[in-house]
Amino acid sequence: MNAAPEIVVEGGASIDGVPLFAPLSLVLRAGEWTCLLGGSGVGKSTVLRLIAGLQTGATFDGAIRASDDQPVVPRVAYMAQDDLLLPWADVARNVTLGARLRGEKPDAGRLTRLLGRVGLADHAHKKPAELSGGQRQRAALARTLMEDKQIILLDEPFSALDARTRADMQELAVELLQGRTVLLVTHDPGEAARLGQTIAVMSHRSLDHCAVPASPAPRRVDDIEMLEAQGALLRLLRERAA
Amino acid sequence: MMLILAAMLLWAFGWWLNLRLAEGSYAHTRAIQVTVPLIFGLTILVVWELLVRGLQVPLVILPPPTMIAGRFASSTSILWADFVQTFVKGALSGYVMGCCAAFVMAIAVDRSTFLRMGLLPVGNFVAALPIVGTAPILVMWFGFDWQSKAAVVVVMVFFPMLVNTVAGLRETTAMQRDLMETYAASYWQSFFKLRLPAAMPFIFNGLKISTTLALIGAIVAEFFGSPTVGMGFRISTSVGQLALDMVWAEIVVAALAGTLFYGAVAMIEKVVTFWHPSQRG
Repeated sequence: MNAAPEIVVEGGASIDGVPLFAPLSLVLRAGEWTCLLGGSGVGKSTVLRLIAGLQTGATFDGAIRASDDQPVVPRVAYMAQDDLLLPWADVARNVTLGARLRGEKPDAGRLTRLLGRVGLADHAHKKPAELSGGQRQRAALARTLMEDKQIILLDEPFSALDARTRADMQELAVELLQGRTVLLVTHDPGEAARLGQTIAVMSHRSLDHCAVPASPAPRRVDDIEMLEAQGALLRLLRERAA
Repeated sequence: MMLILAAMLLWAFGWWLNLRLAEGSYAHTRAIQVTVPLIFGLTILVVWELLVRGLQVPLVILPPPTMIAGRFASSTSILWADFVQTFVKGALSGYVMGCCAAFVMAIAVDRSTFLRMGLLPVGNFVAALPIVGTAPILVMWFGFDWQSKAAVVVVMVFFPMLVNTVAGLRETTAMQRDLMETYAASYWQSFFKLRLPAAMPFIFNGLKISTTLALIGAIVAEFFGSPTVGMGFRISTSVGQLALDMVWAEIVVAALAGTLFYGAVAMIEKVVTFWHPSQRG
């Protein structure tokens, strides 16, 4: 894999002439985690979908560029809150979905290695309905990694999990996504404070870059600095919403 | 009088037995689940027999089951010819044509907003046309043989199949389609790998509804003209000859054919949509 690029998003978006978010400048630093934090409906998912080249229903006025001037969209992998696993296919077939769609033979060695790393080696031939919520989300993470893309877009991927599973998944994701340019869209200040190497709080009017705890991500769940950052982020979030 | 009393007693016994079985500790075993409806059906048949004989009900009102069975056994060659004419040639071919046409149309409707807005209301209108009105016209168009019956069946099954398939193809969520898009999947790749499998429970709903409609359509269409063979033809002429036992024998054939047809489609459904919550347990 080539070195992951830096991504710059510059511009504003509107829906039928009504501004969704004011012109902003968001930099996803190469090979790092950027957390985009905001309340519901401020357009943070729209930013992610614009980077992924998906339909948004909004008009975007601006540009999305990679530092190496290569196109962004083909290098993107996407993971959402819903695991989006196909209920009729087992874990292995779900994880290799991309290759099967292109009519290629999936890389069996890579599949085994990835399933091992997400802890699903024994579940390769189970259907999604036989897995727990955390296991399903780990299968979705393996599917995201199977594609070996440089840019990973995560749209609240851990919000539906219980607290313990969420903390486990956060650590696993940081470990497995090392070296890739990651955008994590979340509404959870705690998650942003734990994982972000850059943290931006988004509102309709502005995008504020916030102080990031000094310790490396993923920070311990009881890290004092992290908890302070979490508090500061929540305060900012509430001020911006007011 | 004795026969009526026997019927009452048998009814009570059958009831008591089934209550015991259905509420007993083996109620969930496969054997009991098969036995209970079997006892129920047998009780009805025997009570029917006893009551018809005991009350001396005229043949034209209701023949006893043994007489229907006797007629069935002695006319198997006629019944078989009628079955082939009406079910295999009329209903089955019309079913296959109608369902395939509706499926192809559903894909067209799915791909084009214009067709969705234009065709669905027309399909709705066609489905609302009464079969007894359209059948004679289709018989005029396509002749007395099975082709006109197949045409009636096509008209009957087309709309339920179309509506179900279109609804099924919309079953995938926007997020699932987004995921497909990030894999740069084309329309047909995403169709075969995601949307068609997701639509299968809906498609099979349409297919199951259509099985019964197909048989009704093929039989009723024969009332408006047919060669001298066919279940609908036999029923209408036998009524004229007051041969009600023959009418009942045809009804038995129709019931058996319809049930087996439905069962076969339901069995294929179970295999294809094993993953769907409705198939669990």
